[in-house]
Amino acid sequence: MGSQFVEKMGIGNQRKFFWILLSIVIISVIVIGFFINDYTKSNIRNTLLEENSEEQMIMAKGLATSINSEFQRLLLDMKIISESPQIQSSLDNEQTRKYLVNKWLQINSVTKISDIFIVDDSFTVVSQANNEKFRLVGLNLANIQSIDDLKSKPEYSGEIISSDGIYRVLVSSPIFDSESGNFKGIIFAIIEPSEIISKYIGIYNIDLSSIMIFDQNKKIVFSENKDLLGKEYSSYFVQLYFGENKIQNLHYEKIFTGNTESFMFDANRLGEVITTGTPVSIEKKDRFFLFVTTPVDRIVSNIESNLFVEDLKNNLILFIVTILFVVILMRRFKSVENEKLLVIGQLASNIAHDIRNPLGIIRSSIVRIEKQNKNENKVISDESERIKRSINRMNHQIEGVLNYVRTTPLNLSQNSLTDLINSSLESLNIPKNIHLTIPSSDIQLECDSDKFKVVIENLFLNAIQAINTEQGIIKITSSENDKEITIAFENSGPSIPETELTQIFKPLFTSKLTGTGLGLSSCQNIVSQHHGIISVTNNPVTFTIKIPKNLRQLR
Amino acid sequence: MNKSTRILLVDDDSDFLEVTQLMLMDEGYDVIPAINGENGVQKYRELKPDIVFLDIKMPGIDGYETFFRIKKIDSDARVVFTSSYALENEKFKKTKELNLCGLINKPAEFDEFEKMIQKFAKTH
Repeated sequence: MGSQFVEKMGIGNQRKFFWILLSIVIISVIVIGFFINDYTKSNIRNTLLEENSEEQMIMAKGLATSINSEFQRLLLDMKIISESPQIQSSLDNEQTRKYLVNKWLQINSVTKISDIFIVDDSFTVVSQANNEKFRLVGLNLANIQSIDDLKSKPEYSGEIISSDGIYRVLVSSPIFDSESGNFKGIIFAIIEPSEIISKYIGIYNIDLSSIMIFDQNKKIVFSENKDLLGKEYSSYFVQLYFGENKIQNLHYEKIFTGNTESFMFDANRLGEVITTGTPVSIEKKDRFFLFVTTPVDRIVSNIESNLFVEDLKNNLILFIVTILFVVILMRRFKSVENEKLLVIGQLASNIAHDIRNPLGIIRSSIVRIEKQNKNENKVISDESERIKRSINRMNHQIEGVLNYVRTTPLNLSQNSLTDLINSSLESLNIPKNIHLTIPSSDIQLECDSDKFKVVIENLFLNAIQAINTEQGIIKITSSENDKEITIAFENSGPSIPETELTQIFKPLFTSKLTGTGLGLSSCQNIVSQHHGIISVTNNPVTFTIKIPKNLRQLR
Repeated sequence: MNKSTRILLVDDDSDFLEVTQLMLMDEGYDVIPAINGENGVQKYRELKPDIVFLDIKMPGIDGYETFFRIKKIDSDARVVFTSSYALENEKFKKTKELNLCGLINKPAEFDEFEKMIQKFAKTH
């Protein structure tokens, strides 16, 4: 026995090792699978984002170059106008005005400008090409900060935010007398940067909402969100708008200082975005800063469907592997559980048998003592009775365990139900307070008589213990049809609580002090070995056994 | 009932053997104890008992094997198994085919021994 155990354990350990190895392999496959899936996805995403960032940077630079050349051309235009004979002849007569209108329309056909106007040497506006929106004639510009620069050479000058909220900039050229070289005045063109940008939107295929332009003072001069116009980047309002994002601030700061290679990939309040920026220089000075921001969602959405298919493929494989693993694991646990139960069952059976032998000896000894005594000594006869009762109790417990663990095959034979009941009654004492009714008409059933007697005995015992000392009845009824035999054990004992109805056939469930908790469980085992069903109902408490008739065919 | 019926009692449990022997002797039977299967077969050959009470699970040759050997010596041997163990179906069936008299489940009331003796023991 001992050596068998050791051998079993050895095989068990080998098996355990195999299972651990398998678990490790499968878990690794799952983990690696997840990583590969993740890696593939992030790889595709990263490649896409990198490409997009590069594209965006090229586009921003292209846009910056285009804007730059526009301004350069306008500067040149202004210089040419300032040197034209008409302007040289007069700054403010009707011909000059017509000439300005003409030039305005000419330039407008290439680059949209709002207006052209001229100031004299006292910086008072004297002529204007387009006075539809604003009448500038008579206005004095002497207070413009950079007016001294404007006097000397063609110049770009920053913001004018008019009452209509549109940001405008000026491109100017001083007018010098062609003969004397004296300063006569300045010619200005008014430009809306947004008009220039709109022109390139189609060319670069960009989304207007993704562009934001800052001027040299870091003031926002172009943004789809009109509320931001004219506000400084570092201002409270703008910072609030961007969500006080430190990484973004760093990135913007880099671009403001001319680092065009900087691009940012980070989450701001719009979600994950790619932001690239580039300064736009006019006359060798950084005048604008152009930022292009693209939400990652928009980029990724193009390949989302592809990623989804990829995902589905990977996840499906992972899902199948995981399910497989779980199933294997569950079966493994079950078999371990079964193995354990088998060992416990064997152990219980061995212990029960080993106790039975000495119990038999005690019983025989007590019989001898009784015979010697011949009822002469009352103490001896009382005590030997007590010993015998105790032996019977122990025997009942052991019997319960053995009935439960005994899984011998059925030994089928034809039996009369009445005979089975009667022979069960031989080993039981039905107390006088209980009235027993057994079926008046007998039926034949095919069963293992020894095992079936155990069922009947257990149901009797159960009923007797339920009724206890009260007056009560135990009533057995039977019926049969073509397919099955039904035997019902009814007793007048107290109802079984609802919660216990489902538990009552479970092993080790007992509501009695001296019960093994195996009686009804054994009944269920035996009945299901007969391909039958045992059930219990209340009012009155009735145990019903149904057993198929053609048992031999079923087996 | 002939009280000098000779009984062979085979059991490896010496306490069981002794108490059962004494009990049967109290009733006036002639009891031969044997401590294992081989011993039982040998004593059967020598003393030709009228009935044998034979334990099944024993070291050396078990009850079944002992049964078959006794049956070889005397095909009319009257053997009753005494056992506290579940029976191995196949071997048990074979012994039944060879006219096994009966089975007493341990622990047993003394009456059961008496009944078996009255029913199966050879009468002279």
